[in-house]
Amino acid sequence: MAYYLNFPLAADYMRDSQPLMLANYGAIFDFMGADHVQFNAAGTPGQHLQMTFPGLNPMQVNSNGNWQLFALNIATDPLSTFLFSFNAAGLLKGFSRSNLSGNLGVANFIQLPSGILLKWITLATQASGAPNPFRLQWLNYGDLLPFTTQYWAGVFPLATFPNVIYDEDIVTYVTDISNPLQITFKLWSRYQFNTAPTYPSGFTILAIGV
Amino acid sequence: MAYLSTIPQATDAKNVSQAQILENFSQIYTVFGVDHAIFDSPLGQGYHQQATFPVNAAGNPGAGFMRLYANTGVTGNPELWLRNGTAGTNYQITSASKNSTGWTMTPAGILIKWGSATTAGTGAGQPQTFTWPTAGTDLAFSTQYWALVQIGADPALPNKDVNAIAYVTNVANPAIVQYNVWRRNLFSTSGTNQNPFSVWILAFGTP
Repeated sequence: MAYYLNFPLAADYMRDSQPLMLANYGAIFDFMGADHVQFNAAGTPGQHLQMTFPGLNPMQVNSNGNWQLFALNIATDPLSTFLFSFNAAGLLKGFSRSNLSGNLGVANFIQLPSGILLKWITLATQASGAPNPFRLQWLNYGDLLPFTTQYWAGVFPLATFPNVIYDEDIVTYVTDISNPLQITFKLWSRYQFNTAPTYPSGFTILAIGV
Repeated sequence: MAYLSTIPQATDAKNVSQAQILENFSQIYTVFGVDHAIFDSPLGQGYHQQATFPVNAAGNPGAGFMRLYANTGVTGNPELWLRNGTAGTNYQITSASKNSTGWTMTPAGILIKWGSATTAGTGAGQPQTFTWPTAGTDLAFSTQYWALVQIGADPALPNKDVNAIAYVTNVANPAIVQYNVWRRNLFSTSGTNQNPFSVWILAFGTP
């Protein structure tokens, strides 16, 4: 329903203003009915029943220094609309962005409202006697949101599922995460010093950064 | 002119009310246009293009309500907070310490902490203790539910094999994580040539 401005003017007759005023009150009522507790409804009119965010493209610029929450369409991501937020300094933070493929060999991530990025990957098979150190480069595994800084990482042995044949013969540990695009780690035999593992095995990695 | 909520009165002359009504409709358009898709917008009038939160110490909305608002966090910066009026909880959901030893809050109220340290060596002073930082801008656990610890290479000697394993022994004290470090290929035995090396710790709890 249309909303009319610039009326009533001083020279307007009431009969001319009446339908515009009627239209405006109807438009206000319809406007409030989207997402808000409606006029005259039970509860507290004006409060939010929910907040619906149309995906924006391009992104709004926050110049008032306040927190802002909004949705953004990102054409290059499998899920095209996410909730983002600015902090008061005008810096962009992700809020609900994620890539949860559930597939082996794919970099998964979730982005928390704080902007912290949790990323993980599972590789089901790794040849025995793998060269040390091993470098996993996230971009080689479909990473959609690269770290700018990588704070922490853990590498853990994993059975070569779904066919668990061998007892896990590896120990793994991180050696370097200073490059945010990769994790460097060692794989050794679990019970022999400075020796490559005998049997194939897998590993899973969890990393934290921004 | 400001928005007037008490016009027109029964005794007001039309030439007085006209200007006031004109102004009120203009004010409604301007105010509704803040954060919302405006009247007749193709995005859907009344929907939120964004939600902007000036900092304020919002109160408890009461049982059955959730409230989202901005206020100063433990970080010292304006953060987004989430109140659950039924549970009586109040979480600063965007707060984090973005460092190699750091933490992040989550909307569920779970606090995730991570860190690393250099350990003295296998068998040395078991159990060993990792203490979470307690700077004024850090959020402490009130309860620590879970932790893991993993050995890492000596940062100064990344190519040297690390002959050690580590495992958590106690998370009951929310201020620390206790763990043992032993030689990797011999049961309950100190190592021979690895010290120091690093330990990497991850923990979940509530603030």
